[in-house]
Amino acid sequence: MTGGASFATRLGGVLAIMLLLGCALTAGLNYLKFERMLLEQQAKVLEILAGELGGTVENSLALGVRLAGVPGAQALLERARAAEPLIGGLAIADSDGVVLFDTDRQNLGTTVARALFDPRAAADAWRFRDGDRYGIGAPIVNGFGQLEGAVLLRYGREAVDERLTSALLGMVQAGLLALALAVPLGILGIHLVTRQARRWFAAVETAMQPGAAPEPLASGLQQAIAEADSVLSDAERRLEAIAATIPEPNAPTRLEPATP
Amino acid sequence: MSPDRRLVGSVVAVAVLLLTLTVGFVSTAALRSFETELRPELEREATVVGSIGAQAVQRALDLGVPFSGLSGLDDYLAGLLATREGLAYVLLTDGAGRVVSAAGSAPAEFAGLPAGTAAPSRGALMRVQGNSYDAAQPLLEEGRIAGWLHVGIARARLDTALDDMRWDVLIVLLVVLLATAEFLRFILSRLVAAPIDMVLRLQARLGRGDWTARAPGDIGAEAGRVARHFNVLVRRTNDRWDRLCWLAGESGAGRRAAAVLEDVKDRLRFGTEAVREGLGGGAASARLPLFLFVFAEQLSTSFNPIFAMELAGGQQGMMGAALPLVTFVAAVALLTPWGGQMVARHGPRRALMLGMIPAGIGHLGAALAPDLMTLAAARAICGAGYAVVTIACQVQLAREAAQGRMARTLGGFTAAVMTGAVCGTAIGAVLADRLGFRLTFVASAILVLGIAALAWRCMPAGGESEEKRGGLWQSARAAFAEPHFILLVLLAAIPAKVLLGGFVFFLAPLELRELGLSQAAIGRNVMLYGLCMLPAIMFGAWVADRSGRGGTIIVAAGLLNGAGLLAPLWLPGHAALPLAVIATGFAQGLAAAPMLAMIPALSLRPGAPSSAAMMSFLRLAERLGSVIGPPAAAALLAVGGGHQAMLVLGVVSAATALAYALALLLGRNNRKALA
Amino acid sequence: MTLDRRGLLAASTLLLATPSLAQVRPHRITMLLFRGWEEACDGFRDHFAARRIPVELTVRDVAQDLRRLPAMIAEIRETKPDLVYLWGTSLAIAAIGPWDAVDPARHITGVPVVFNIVTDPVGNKLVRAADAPGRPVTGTEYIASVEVQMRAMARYRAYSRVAAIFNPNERNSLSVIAQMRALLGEGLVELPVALDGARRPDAASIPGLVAEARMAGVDWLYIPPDTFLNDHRAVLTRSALEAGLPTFAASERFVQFAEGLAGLVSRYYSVGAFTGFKAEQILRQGRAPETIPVETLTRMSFLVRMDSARRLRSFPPVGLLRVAETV
Repeated sequence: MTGGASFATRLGGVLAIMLLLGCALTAGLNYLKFERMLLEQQAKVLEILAGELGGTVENSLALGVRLAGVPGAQALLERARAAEPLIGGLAIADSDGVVLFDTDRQNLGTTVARALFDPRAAADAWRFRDGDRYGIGAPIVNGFGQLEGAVLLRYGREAVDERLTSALLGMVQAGLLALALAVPLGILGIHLVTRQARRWFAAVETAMQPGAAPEPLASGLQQAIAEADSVLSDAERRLEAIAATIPEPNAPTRLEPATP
Repeated sequence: MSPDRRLVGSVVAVAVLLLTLTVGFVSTAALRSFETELRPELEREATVVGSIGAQAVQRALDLGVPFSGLSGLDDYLAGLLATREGLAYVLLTDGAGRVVSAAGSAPAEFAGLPAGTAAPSRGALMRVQGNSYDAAQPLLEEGRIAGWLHVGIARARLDTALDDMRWDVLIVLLVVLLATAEFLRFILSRLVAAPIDMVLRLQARLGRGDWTARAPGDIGAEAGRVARHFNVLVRRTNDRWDRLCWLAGESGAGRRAAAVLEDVKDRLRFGTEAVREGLGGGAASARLPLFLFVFAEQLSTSFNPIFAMELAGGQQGMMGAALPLVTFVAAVALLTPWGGQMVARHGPRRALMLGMIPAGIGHLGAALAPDLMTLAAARAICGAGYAVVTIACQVQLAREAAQGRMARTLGGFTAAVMTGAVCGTAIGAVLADRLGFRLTFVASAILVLGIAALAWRCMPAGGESEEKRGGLWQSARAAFAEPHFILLVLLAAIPAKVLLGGFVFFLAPLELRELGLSQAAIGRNVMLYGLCMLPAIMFGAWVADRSGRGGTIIVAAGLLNGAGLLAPLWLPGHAALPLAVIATGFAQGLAAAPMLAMIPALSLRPGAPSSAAMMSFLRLAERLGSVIGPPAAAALLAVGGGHQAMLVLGVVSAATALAYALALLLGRNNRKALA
Repeated sequence: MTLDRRGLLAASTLLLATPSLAQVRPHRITMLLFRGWEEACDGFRDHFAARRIPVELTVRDVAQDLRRLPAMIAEIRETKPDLVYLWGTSLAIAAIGPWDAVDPARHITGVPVVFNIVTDPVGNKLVRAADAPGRPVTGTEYIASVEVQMRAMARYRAYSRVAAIFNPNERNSLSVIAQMRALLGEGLVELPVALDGARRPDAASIPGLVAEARMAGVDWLYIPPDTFLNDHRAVLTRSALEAGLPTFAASERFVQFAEGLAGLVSRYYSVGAFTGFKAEQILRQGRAPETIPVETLTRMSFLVRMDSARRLRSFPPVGLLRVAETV
């Protein structure tokens, strides 16, 4: 801390940094919270949809078919997907994880990863991650209470990300605007409130210059300097007077500057 | 000659004003954009639930059931409402908007859709009805709209979320404000307040004719320039003196010239002092390092038990979660006296730097801990560092305290610890959320490294107390041989911490939960304690310095605390508990600075140990109180219930305060009698 | 002794479809049928297919003639299959006998048995109790309990009095009526079909009984799972409809293939799959049949005939329509 910048500038700098930090923290915290809320809300809606599809399939099972033979299941999935743009893909897998119906027909007959398919969750819907995609599983329970399979609903974060981005943009805009106003104002304000102190330092600084004009702020100092000055000047005058009256060149007796 | 005494106040005021406005503006904008972005998602939910609900009714109509012949509607709508969480109402209107059947509580403002409303081409018709988002699904009978199924989602859910966010913003604001105040105070005290004091001191020396002083060269900004100018001035004046001496030598009139010089020497002194004038009083150079150190330490507070539980693999349960906390507190408590000794031996600056070593190692160890035991050990090592560093900072602050500002300077210690704790805990939670637990510990370690560098640059060396060395045991005996110290510990320090640990951190959360408050609301109530304590510390310190009656303030604080805990006698629980928390915070804040400020004076008494040692014993006693508090409150709770426990604690606080007052009175009378 | 083509086909495809499974030897199951292969057998077979369990089905049909049974039982004794499947109440009684009087000479012993499409297995002494069969025999019931049926009836339309028409010659119906009596007490109007001189039920008495129910001011006419009434379901449901009486049946044919208003029914296919599940528990999980309870489906079909509802102006409530199947 030996640089030359005024303390007011440094205070202004700290204030600017803290303003930035405050805005960033506010935006960041809110962003995180909002992200969680949006994901949760989206998952909740999709869980309702998946549960409803599961219920429909269960009703069909009660009519006396096996899961693989549920009439119109493929069409049911495709209709549901078309109706809800959030849904990335829908599948029905049996309890071994073999895909029986899928909006992406390429997947028919493949086996879904065990991690996505949680047969313990026979009572409730569950959520899973498949790479960067999210998913919701809704159990399909047959007429005798056994897990027959599940509706697997896959969805992406794109919709949430879109909303998050637009919220973030809003916050960044507001933050930049606020900073653009607050930082100059802060620096100005600090310069204003430190005016007196800076003046005092300036006065003290000037007061110590030789031949300075009287500084009311540093009068004590100036007085002390003036006192020393007058004592020294007086001594100088007297010594010079002595030197002038006695011109004989004696052997000089050198006097050391004494320290008491 | 007053270069603005209120400078700190006005600079902080500018900062507070601008930060509040800026953060407020940004968060308002954020909340507004969330509402805009979240609303479609809530509407989507209403639409989805509505379309599912409408299916059955539509099916009935499609099967030829006339709209007027629909039966079992009340049951059906009630069932729909019950199975979906968060719905405000579900209701069915006929084509003209008259409500046919309803479940839940529709807002008073609800109005059905008028006859002739066109069906939306897709999805539902969205409206806002009162405080609910309303999705209306058309029901068709032979191609014409026969009715509408309305699903309402209460705005309350959105509002709760927004409320939570507002609290978060408030906490961020508080943290940023406190941290900003710490930084500004550090800069101001180093570059303004202390230099002004120094200039005034130097000026006084000049005024006394003392031209031997030199200003320190290692300060910056205006103060640095003033210091350089001062040194030039002194040098110039000394040069003039040298010239006088030369002149006197040259003059040849030895005796007369010597008389002139003697005249000057009578009034002025010249030369160079071996020791430069320091920044000295009010520099508070330990405050920022202390704040940052506590900040770094508390980054992990919010997740420590969770991390411990994770490492334990859920096997050790609650005990496992508490283990690192226990080892940390135990290490701090046990090593605080040793820390005091170390500070006395090496001086605060070196002790602080030495203390950073275990602290840094502890944080790194916690970051890398493969299992619970390693984490617990790492936290104990952190505790050792914490014990040394806090005592070192405390002693350094006491050393630098200007005359008559002892309580305020030492109040600064408690304030810095509190501020660091509040800020660290809040920011730590965010960091952990973003970076994970281990990287947050790494951040703590890096911060500790930075603090060591800061302390190395900013803290003056020295401060070893040569004469008052001696064993731990001896200094303990000496400290507790001092009756005033014992009274302070037994009747003020320990009861205060028992109340803090027993009431604020144990009883209050439990009782608030009994009242049915959410976890977040309980947290806010407990936070009230810290919020009230901070201003109270400053106030208590100010009063103590002004009046010089630290003892009286401590007594008053104890009585106030007791009275606060007796609040349930007059008030219902939901008002009494926050009030008691506020009273405790305020009272503890009031007493904090006067208690610490008594120590330096006590250590000057004959036979007393160093102030470092006494402070470490005081803090050890406080830790003891904090440890006793929760089990004591738990025992009281088990015996007589929450209110009784509060009353007992309140009575204990008031009684110890009165006993302390009595002891002070007796002591004063004794001294008077001796005089 | 006919071997159903579909059954054979099923067995062979199952064997082909599952060559890679660890279970190399398929489970051998002998199916004894009463009147040929139908949906319950489909459900039983398809359960193994859906669960990818290799089975080898040997199908034997008595074609409603129980005199063919002893030869089949002899074959079972000889081939010792892993499991025997029995279809129908009378065949089951003949094949395994009452639990407290097993005759190893006449009855199947030493092989786990599952039965399907059986009414009142406890009353018919096939097992000692539903939750603990008491012998290595288990299976499924396809009629919902009387209590469940009464609740389902009330869900459609609340009632205070119910008339029940039945053939007094059928043990099965008598047991249902007894249970109803215990449940409804005074609220039950019993309408036994008149017997002719040979003590055979007389179909001509049905319209009269319906009129009698109408006169009694009942809210529902209940039709138990009665073979005789099933044969005359058209007359019965038509006269009820004409009398403005809503009918509730325990089996689907009265609604699906007549003009009954509603019924809580199990699909034969689902019951067959459930029986397959119980067989799986024995074959795959090694559970003793004695420990496997005899149960009905937990989820049945609520059948509603909308034509009849319209004619009676008695529509099902919306909540019921959500789950009901309309015909």
